[in-house]
Amino acid sequence: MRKRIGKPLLELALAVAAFFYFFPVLMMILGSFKSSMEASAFDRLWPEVWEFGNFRQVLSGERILQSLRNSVIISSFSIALTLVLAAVASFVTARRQSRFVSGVYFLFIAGLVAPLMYIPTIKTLQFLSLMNTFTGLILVVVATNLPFAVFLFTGFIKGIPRELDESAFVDGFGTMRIFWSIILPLLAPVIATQSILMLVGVWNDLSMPLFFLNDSGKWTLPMLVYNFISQYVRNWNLVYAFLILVSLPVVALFIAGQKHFVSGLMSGAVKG
Amino acid sequence: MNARRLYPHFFLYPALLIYLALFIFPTLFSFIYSFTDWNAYRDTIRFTGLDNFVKIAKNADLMLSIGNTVLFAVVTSIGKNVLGMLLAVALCSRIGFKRLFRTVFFLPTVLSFIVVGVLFTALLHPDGFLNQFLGFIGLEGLRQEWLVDRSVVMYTVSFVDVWKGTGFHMIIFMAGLLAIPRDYGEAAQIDGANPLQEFFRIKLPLMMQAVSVNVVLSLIAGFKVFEQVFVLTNGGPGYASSVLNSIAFQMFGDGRWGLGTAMNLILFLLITSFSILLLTYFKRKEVDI
Repeated sequence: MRKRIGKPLLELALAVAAFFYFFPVLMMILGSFKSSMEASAFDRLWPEVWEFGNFRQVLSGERILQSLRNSVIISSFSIALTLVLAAVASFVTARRQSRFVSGVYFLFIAGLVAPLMYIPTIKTLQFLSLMNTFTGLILVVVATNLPFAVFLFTGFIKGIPRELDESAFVDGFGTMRIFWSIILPLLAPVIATQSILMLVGVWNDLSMPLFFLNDSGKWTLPMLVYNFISQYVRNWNLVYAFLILVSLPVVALFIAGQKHFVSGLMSGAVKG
Repeated sequence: MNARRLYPHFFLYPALLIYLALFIFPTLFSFIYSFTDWNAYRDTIRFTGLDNFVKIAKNADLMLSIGNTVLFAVVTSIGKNVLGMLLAVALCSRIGFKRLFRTVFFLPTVLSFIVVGVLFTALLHPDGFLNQFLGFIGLEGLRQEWLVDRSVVMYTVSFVDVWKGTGFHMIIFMAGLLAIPRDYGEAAQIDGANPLQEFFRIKLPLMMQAVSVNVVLSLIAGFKVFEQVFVLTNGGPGYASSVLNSIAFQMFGDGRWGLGTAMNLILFLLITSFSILLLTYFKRKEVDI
């Protein structure tokens, strides 16, 4: 009896909670279709007149394509580099037990916890003449993402039977061939997990571009929001439209790959 | 088989090189430079012992930012984990629309803080939706200047972060719950356990691993707070909502690098000591299924 009343009640409670939870996003979506006068009034959720031109107006802004390009460059290179470096390193940390290997692995694990020291990192980049460059920013992003990637990949490779390597070795395969033709193809699921998690993190990140890029021509899409707000301070409809465009790539990826994303998160977190 | 030949150390070098140069080296660097008067206005750097830390201890604003960081980490960890656990339990029971609910609660996790910041600046505006809603349901008395009032601003920022982060912890709790064999719960029900007893006596102890991952991750993320404050209040009004990282950012801008690094080092010590304490505590509590 308790169960029969309980279920619809629970569903109702969740529906109310979900509505409030979704409210800020709803406000953004509906707001992006309002006229500028309606949007700055803050008093009605539903647009009286639907204005579909807001997105076109935002997209015609001069710097948005440049920022989009910057975001794509920074995300793709930092993800690719992290994947390659972590896969290669984890092949050895998972398979070989030497004092050096366990020392290196410990050093990476420590980086899961320790915060980035911003000012000394800026100074290091300046010393390497990499401050305010994409290369410098990408390398810092890689350095801060390596600990989790190495942790994830090492755990995964440990689950691949060692006998695979050994039989390949007996067949005359060298290290490179064992890695490329046996291990790497099996890494596909963790490569997908790491790529999605990192894309969300890097695409949305504010602090790294803020600290390590001071030239606003190099800013990523989310950073451009600041410029945009000061330029269109009275046009909340355009601000909302801009926010949707900033979020769209990652949200679309999340909706499309939700199953993968969620299962990756689950296995990464709980098996660790 | 020759492990030395098959798994050569040089495979580690490229990753290690970047990691050492841009993470480990700056960290070690900060241990030294926290004890100097390193700044933008002089070429020479002098050791000043504990001067920076004495300065911090004597400065009420800086001490407030340390307190705010700890407050934020604790409040958001409790909020995210309690709410995340409630949602996970609800979404793991036999209800409809599971995927829709899961998507809605998880969605904020993939938004940028700048998006979250702008949306909540609008919602929490003195004439914004939240205050209008409170007036509408007859709770005029609860209306606040959410981002302006010194006594509430830190809780407002924490609330926004809980909104954004709960979905992530919910997913991890769901994984923990789904890993528990179904017959454990059934056996408890046959023995006459009520749902609360079943949760606290059976499920919670069996999902300690998910709990420990969640608590440690949320606390570490909470201590590292920066963007949340940066997008909502930029530390204001005054220093009322500043945190360790926002002060470090400000000190960098002011050219007071030694002092800024010392603030960053305090953050480092807070995070590592809390993590070590928690990890040893949870190690003892975990149960293998």
